[in-house]
Amino acid sequence: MLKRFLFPVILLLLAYGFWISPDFKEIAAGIALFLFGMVCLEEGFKAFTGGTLEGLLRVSTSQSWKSVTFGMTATTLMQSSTLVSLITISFVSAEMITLAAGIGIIMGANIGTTTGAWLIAGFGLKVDIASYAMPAIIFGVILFLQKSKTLKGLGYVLLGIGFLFLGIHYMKLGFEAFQSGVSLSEFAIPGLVGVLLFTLIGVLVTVIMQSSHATLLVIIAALATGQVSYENALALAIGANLGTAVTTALGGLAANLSGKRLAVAHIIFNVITAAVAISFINQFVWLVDHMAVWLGINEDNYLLKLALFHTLFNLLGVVLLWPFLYKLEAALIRYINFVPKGSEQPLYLFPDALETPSTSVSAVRKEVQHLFDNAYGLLAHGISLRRAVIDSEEPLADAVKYTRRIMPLDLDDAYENKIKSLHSAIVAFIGEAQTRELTREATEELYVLRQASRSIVEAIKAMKHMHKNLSRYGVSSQLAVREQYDAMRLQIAKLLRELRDILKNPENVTSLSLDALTLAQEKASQQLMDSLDELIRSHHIQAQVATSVMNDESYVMDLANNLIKAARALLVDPDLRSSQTLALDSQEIESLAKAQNV
Amino acid sequence: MKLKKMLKKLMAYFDADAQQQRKDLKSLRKILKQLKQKEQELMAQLDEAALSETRENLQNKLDVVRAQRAKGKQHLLALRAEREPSSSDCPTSTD
Repeated sequence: MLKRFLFPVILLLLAYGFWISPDFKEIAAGIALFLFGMVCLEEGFKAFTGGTLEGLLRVSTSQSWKSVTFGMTATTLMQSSTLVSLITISFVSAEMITLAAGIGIIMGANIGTTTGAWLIAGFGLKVDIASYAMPAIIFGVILFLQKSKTLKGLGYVLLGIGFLFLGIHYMKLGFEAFQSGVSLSEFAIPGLVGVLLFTLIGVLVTVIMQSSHATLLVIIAALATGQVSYENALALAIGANLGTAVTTALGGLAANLSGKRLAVAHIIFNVITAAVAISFINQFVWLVDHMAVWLGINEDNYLLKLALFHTLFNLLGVVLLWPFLYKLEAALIRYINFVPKGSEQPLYLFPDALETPSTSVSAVRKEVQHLFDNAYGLLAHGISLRRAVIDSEEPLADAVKYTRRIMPLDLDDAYENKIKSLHSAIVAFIGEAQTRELTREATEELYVLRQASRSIVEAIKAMKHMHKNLSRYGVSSQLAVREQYDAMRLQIAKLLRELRDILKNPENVTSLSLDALTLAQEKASQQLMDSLDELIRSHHIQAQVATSVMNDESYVMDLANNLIKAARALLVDPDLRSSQTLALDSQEIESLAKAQNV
Repeated sequence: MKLKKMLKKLMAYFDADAQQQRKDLKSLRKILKQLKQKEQELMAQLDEAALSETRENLQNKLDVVRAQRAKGKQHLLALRAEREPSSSDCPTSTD
C-alpha cells in the first residue's frame, strides 16, 4: 500500500527536480544509466550460471578462507555484491552450501565491493570514460542480438560495462555543473552528529537505489566536485555498506529458514562493521593518512583515500568476525527456528531458489524428498505401525502379527494438509522455474521430479482406497481374512524399510537397487494370489471378501510401484544410461519371482 | 600404411558415435565391477544372517544382482562386437 503511494510521489518529485535543475537531470540520468548497466551485467552473468558458477561455488566453499576468497573474487569480477549475496542466499536456501560457507562468501563480498570504489576513484573520474563506453555499447548490442546464449550473455556484460561507464561520465558532468550553482559542502556537519546523520543518509540512498556501487559513485563524484566534505563522505560510505545489508536482507527474509539465517548473519556482520568504523572513525582517518603515504597516494587525493578507508573498515570487519564464524553459525541455527503450521508448508521452495537452474532443481529435489518423508509417515500410520518400528531393526513380521488395534487416521485430512499442499507447491514452483532460462538438463530433471511428486500422491491415494478395508479386516476374528491383510501390511512395511535405507544416501546408490524391491513386490503379490486361490477353493473365505482382498492387493501393487518410481527419481545415478540397460524388465522380474516361489 | 592406420584411429577417436560407445563401455564395466562387489558382500551377509526375514531379503537381492550381472555381460559382449577391431581401447576382464 505504502509502496503504491510512494512510487508516483517519487516520480513526481523527480520530474519536478528535472524541471527546476538541468544539472540534477544529468546526475539522475547518470545514476539511471549506472543502475541499468548493473542490471545488464547481472543478466550477462546469469547466462554463465548454467553450471560454471555453481560448480565453482561448490568446490570453493569447503573451508572458510576459500569462501571468503570466493566472495571477494566473484564480487570484484561481477562488480555487484547484491548479485553474489542473492546467489549465495539461494544456494544456502537449497542447502547446496553450508550456512558457514554462505557467511564466509558474504564477508568476502563486502571486501570485493570495495574494488568498485578504487575503480571509480582511480580510473573512472580521471579519464574520458565515455570514450571507453561507446565501443563497449556498440559491441554489446551486436553480441546481444545473436542467437547463441553465450554470445548474448557476453553482449549483456559489455552493455553493462558500457552503461556503467556512461553513467559515471554523466554523473561527473552533472556534479561539475552543479558545483557552479550550489555548494552542498556548506551544509557539512562536523563531529559525531555529522557521522551518524550522513551514515543514515548513506543507508537511505543505498536502500532506494538498491546498489552500494551506485551510492559510492554518487559519493565519489560529489567528493570530487567538493559537494560533500571528506569526513561526511566517509560516513556516507559506512552508510552505503550498511544499506547493502538491508537490501540483501530484505531478499533473504522472504526465503526459507536457511536464507533467513544468512540474511540475519549479513545484517549482524555489517552492523558490527559499521559500529566499529563509527566508533573508531578518527583512528581510521589517522590510519588511512599513514597508509596513503606508504602507498604513494597524495595527501589531498581524497578520492583514493575514501577508497582506502572503504577497504580498510571492511577488512577490519572480516578480521574481527572471522574467528567467530562457526560460533555465529551455531547461534543462528539455535535461535532462528522453524515453527510448523497447520497445513504443511514447503521447506525449500522460495523465490531465491529460482535464481539459477541448479538451485531450482536442488530445491525441488529436496522438497520432493520432504514430500516423500511425509508420505512415508502417513503410509506407516495407514498400516497401523509406528514409524519408529519400521525405522528400527525389529522383525516386521512380528510387529504386524502382534498388532492389537488399527490406528485411527483421517486420511482425507492428512492427505489435504501433508501431501496435496506440498504437491501443489512443487507443481507451482516448477511451473515458475520453467518461465525462466533453464538448461536442457535442468528441464529434464524438473520433469522427472514432478512425475515423482505425482507418483507419491498416487501412492497415498492407493492407501486411501484400501484403508477402509484394512481397518475393517485388519483385526478381523476370521483368521484367514486377517492373514491376507497382514500379508499386505507386511509387504508395505518391508517396502518402506527398504526405501528408507536406500534413500538415506541417494548419491551412493544406483537405480539398480530398486529392482530388488520390484522383485519383492512381485513375489509377495504372487504368493498372496496363490494363497487366496487356495482359501477360495477350500471355502475358508467368502467370495465377497476375496474380491475385496484382490482389489486391495491391486492397490498395494499400485502403491508400491508408485513409491519405487518416486524413489528412482530421487536417486542421483551418474551412470544412468548403463543402469537403465541393466535394469530388469517386468518379464524378467516375473520369471525370477516365479522361480523363487517354486 | 602406418600413417593411414594412425589417421583412421584418430578419426575414430573424434567420431561422436564411437565416443559415445567408448563412454557406454566404460560405464558398463564400472557398473559390472560394482555389481560383482555387491554380490560378494551379499553372499557374506547371507552366511551370517540368522533371521529368516533377513535371509529372504538378502537372497532376493542376490538373485537380482546375479540377473543384472548376466544381463550386463551379454550387453558388454554385444557392444564389443559392434566396435571395429582397430579400436584404441584395450578390453579388460570383468570377472
